[in-house]
Amino acid sequence: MILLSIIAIFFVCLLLGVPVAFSIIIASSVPILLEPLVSLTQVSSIMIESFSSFTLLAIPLFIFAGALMNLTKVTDDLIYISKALVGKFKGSLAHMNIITSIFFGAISGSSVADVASLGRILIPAMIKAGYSREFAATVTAASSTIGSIIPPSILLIVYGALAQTSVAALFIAGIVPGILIGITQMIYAYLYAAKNDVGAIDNKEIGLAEDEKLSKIVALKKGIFPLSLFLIVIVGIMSGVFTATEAASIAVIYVFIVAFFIRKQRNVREYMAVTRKAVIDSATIYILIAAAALLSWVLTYYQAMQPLIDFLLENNFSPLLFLLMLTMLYVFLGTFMEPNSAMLIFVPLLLPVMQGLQIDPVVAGIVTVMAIRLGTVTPPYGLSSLLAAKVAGTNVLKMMRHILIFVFIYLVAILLIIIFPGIVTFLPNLLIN
Amino acid sequence: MKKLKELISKVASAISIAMLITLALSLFIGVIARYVFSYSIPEIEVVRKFSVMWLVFMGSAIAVKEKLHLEIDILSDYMSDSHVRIKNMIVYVLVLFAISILIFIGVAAFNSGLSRSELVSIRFLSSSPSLIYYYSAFLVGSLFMLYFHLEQFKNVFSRKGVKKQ
Amino acid sequence: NGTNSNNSNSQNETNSGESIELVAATINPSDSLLAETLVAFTEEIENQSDGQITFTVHTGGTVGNASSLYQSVISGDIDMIYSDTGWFAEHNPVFDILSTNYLFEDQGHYETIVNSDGKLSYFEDLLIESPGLKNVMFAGGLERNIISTFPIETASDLEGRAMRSGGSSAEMEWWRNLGANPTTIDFNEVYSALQTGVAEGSQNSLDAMIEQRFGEVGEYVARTQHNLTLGFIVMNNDRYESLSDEHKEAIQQAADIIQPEYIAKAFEQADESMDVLIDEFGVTFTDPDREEFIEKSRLQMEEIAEEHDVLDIVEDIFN
Ligand code: NA
Ligand code: NA
Repeated sequence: MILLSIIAIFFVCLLLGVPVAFSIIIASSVPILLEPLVSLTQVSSIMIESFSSFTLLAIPLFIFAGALMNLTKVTDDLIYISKALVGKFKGSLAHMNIITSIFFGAISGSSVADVASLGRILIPAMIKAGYSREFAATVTAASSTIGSIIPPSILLIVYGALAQTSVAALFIAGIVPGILIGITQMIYAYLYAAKNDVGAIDNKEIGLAEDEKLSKIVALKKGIFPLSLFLIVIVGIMSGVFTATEAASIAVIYVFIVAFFIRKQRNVREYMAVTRKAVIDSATIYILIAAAALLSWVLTYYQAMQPLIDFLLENNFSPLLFLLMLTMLYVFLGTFMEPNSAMLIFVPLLLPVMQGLQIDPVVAGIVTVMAIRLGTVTPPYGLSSLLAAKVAGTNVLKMMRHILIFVFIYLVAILLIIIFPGIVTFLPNLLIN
Repeated sequence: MKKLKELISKVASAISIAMLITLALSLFIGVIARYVFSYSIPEIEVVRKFSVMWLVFMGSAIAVKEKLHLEIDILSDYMSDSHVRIKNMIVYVLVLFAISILIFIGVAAFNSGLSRSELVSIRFLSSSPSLIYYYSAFLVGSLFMLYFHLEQFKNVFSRKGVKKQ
Repeated sequence: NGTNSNNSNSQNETNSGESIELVAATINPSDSLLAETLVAFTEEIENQSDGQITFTVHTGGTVGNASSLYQSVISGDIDMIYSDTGWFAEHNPVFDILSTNYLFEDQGHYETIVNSDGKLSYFEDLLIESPGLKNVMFAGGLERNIISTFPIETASDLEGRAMRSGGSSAEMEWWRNLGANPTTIDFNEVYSALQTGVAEGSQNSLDAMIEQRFGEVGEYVARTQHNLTLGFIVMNNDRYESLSDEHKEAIQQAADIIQPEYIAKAFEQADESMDVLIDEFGVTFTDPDREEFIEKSRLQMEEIAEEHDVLDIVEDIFN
């Protein structure tokens, strides 16, 4: 009864639009009031404990690095580079859109910035070049998900911390699936471009100053910063020189040095503004982490998950079937909830089930993050699609046909990973041995 | 009055921004110390715990002020403006309730911090610092949240305050 | 403290002969030896008190994490918990001594000190003073050893080696005293750190080496037994003092039976764990020369003891 009322209060608050963290706090006040064993001191210590994780520290730091990155104009450079790479192909703008997302994902931990910053440049350009608004918006939304799979990735860090799994292993494991998703999306983009007569576009339409021929040399030069950042962070983590958290702190300092000394961004106000934004983004995720720790403790207290665990174990659920259900659950959650919130609440709950079924935590982590990110594309409330639709001046319903195709491709990729987990595990096994 | 408002808001911003920068710098220094000078600095753990707590609670207070906490707003699309207004009032009261609970939890954290001290010893201090230096962030941050939330009372309950976020 | 206003489980009105209900808790999962120890202890108390004292035991962190259980037993929300000594230092840093390595040289030394009545009374009295906890039984005896990618025969084999540290200054200092180069690595990352060579070794319980599969990436385990856990089963002292003499006696008798039995079990369990590591993980055990290890490790204990002016007391207990 108490358990049911806690869950009901939580969902009612959530649906009304009470912030997720506060919804949890309100729901958890029930046991504080009713249970003699639950005291305020205890609750405070559970919440404070959740701030002490070293792994989770990587989150504010990657957010900070990403915020500072805006001051380096690296987005423009990535567009230039991808144009130099695939500018001559059929459907070049769509390919650029996807490739830029892969590059962006390889240096940035958060991919929400992707739709906003890259989308604003590439969507109008694609429309001008003859792509439909709906296709342009869908490609942008769908490709933005790659950033959460390719390391560094805040979602993978959150997963690693919640599931007590090595973030380094998750990061390495994300590389192949991330590229795989990119390639499948490029195939669809190629088919679309071949069928619809789309053209190329002038450099200035995509925010590039020079109207001259793109030079591979310039592209190479522009690539030095993002490539070096990628090498420091990812190779540093892969080779085990740094932990993800340490790598994130190095990224912050490195991006700052490039912005301040090389790009000569000296406006203190701008630094304050991006830092303030990073502070708010970090704080809202962290307070949610603390609240989610409280909720998952409350649910453990009432042994809420035990019936499900017993049921799955008694009925000999296969890991494969469970992962499929997990995918569906997270796609659904990702559609309605912000991805971090969804993971913070559900990963700890499902963890005992995964352990019971002996599912490889790294595979489960990649599948979880992919599914939840797919949810942000799925209608009607997928955040990425909503945002891209807004930029493109269309709506999600009109985009449906393209979205469904991308969702289908994406689901096939997830299915492949579930059936052949080697896609995920082979790189970590290869590199770490 | 207006000056006080601005001051409070600036204090919250300044503290949390300083904390994020401290966090990044201290961890960076820790890495450099270890790899370049083969030297570990255990005190950094204390610095990071301190900065995370203040960063989170002051940052959360700002997020209350600017309505930036992560939320799901599905119902508003299906509601008339007057219903949205009523809904927003209910949400306002619920958030007020949540912040009050946070304050109570903050008081408990404050009390337990008073009698406890940091387990990591700091070499340049003669005794370990009390946990109150960072446990108090919970209470102080929640009080800031309360202040920023009460400040919005007029927007939510006045006649013209129908603005959707 | 004002936080235990609604504690209906344990009303402080106990007359001799009246039945009382107590709540005990530990964060250790129910199948772990420490949780089993707590359960056995509470059952024996029920038995010794002829059912007058009954317990509800929570294991596996269902009623809170380590920090919150500790706060709860202080505030009186929970009556009895298993606690390791780490938390006590928050109230009195002298307790750091009990976390230092080679406090006990081996099983015999451990059992002599821990199982003899009153040997550790100096610390037990401190605990009553602040934060107001009564030690009712010792539990532990689980050993920590060094797992590494290279064989360790003497302490000097550690010279310049990158050893994983959990980040506590005490652990780092210990590695440094042994000549190693400590590297802070999250527990979750130890496996990959050993695999990639970022860390060449780590000190853990045998359980962790098995459960976290460290045995797959570390070929050698040096049986240093540098740390034999000393855990306290503590009660809120006010609660304890409210009990009748008969009930206190029942608790004491239960402790006299359960404590030596379960400490012996801990040492037996080590033998089983070693077999698992050898058979399933192909680990090679080495038996390093302890003299040098003990000498270098005890520097920390002496340092802390000197700092708090208790060198005599400590030497008296542990030498
Ligand atoms: Na894109
Ligand atoms: Na990324």
